[in-house]
Amino acid sequence: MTTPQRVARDIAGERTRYEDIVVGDDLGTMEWSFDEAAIARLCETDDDFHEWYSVESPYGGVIAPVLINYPPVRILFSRKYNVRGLFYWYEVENYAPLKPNVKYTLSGRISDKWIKRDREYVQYQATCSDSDGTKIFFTRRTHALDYLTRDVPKVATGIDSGAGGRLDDAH
Amino acid sequence: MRAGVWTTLTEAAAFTYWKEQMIFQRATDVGWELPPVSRQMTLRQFEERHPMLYGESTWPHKNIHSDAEAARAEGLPEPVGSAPTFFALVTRAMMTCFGDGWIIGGRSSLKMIKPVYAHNFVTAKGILKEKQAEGASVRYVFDVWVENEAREKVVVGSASALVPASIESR
Repeated sequence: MTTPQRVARDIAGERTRYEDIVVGDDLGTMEWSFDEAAIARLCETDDDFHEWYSVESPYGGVIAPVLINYPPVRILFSRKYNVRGLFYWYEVENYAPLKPNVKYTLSGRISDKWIKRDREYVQYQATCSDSDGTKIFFTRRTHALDYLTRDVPKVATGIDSGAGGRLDDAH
Repeated sequence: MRAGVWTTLTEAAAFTYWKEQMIFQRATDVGWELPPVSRQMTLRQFEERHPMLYGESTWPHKNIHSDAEAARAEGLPEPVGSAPTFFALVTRAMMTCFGDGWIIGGRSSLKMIKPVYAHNFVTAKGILKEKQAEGASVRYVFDVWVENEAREKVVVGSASALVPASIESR
C-alpha cells in the first residue's frame, strides 16, 4: 500500500496549482458548433432521448440537450488550466435552444476560488452567443482541484490529465 | 428573457400543445414530485463517455472515469462516473415536464456531493418547492437530487422552468 499523494504533473505537464489561479483571469473566446451526430452521441451516453433531439422540434429541426454545453466550456477552461480534479458544481441558465450546425461563440473567465473542508476549488463561468450576439446560455462551473485533501503532498505524477483539448500540443 | 414557442401559437393552440407535449398538469402545486428518472450505471458507459463527447484524442484514454489505476492515482478507490451524466437525469426530467419552458428560461444549480461508481443504480427526483411570478410566466422551482440504490444523495440542487401564466392559471 503506497502513501497517497496528490498529482503535481501528468502527461500534459504540470498541473495548475491553486496559488496560480487568478480570479478574473480571461479564458478567452472559442468558436463552437456541433452536428446532429454529436447530439446523437450525447443522447446515447446520457440515456437522454426526446423527439425534439432526434426527430423535430418546434424551433425548426432538432435541438440538443442543454448538457451539450458541458464539453466546450470545459475545453475553454482546459486550454489555459490543467485541472483534473472532480467536477463539483454546475449552474446553467438556458436562454435559447441549442441548434446543430450553428456557429456559437463562447467566452469565459475565472470567477472565484476558495478552500473548503481542506479542498481547493476553482470556479469559472462562460457565456455562449450566436452570430447575432443573442445569448444562448450562461453557465458557471466549479471543480475541486483534487479529490485528496490539501494536507496530502502534491508531488505525484498522474496518468489522467485536465488538459483536454490540448493533449496534442503536449505530445 | 426571449419569448418561447408559445408566442408563435394562439392561446388555445398553446394549451393544446401543452397538453399534448407535457405530462405536467395545470393543477400541479407545491409538493408535486417530478417523475423519477433512473439509470443503472456501467463501467462501459464510464469508458465510452469521454471519447464519444470529446473525440478519441482529446482526453487521456486512461482517466479517472475509465481506469482503475488512473482513479487510484487521484485517491479514488475505483473509477467514478462523470458528473454531467447524473445531472442529465435531472435535466431529462425537466425537459420531459416542461419542454419549451426548460429550453428557454430553464435554470439549474447542481452539486455532485458523492461519487458514483460503475455498480451504482441512480435515480433523479425532485419536488416542487415554489412558484414565482416572472413576467408573463410562472417559474416552477424544484428541489432536486439524485440518489443511489442505498438512498444516499449523490447530487443535490435546484432546477426551475417556466410555464406561461395564462396556461398556469387556467
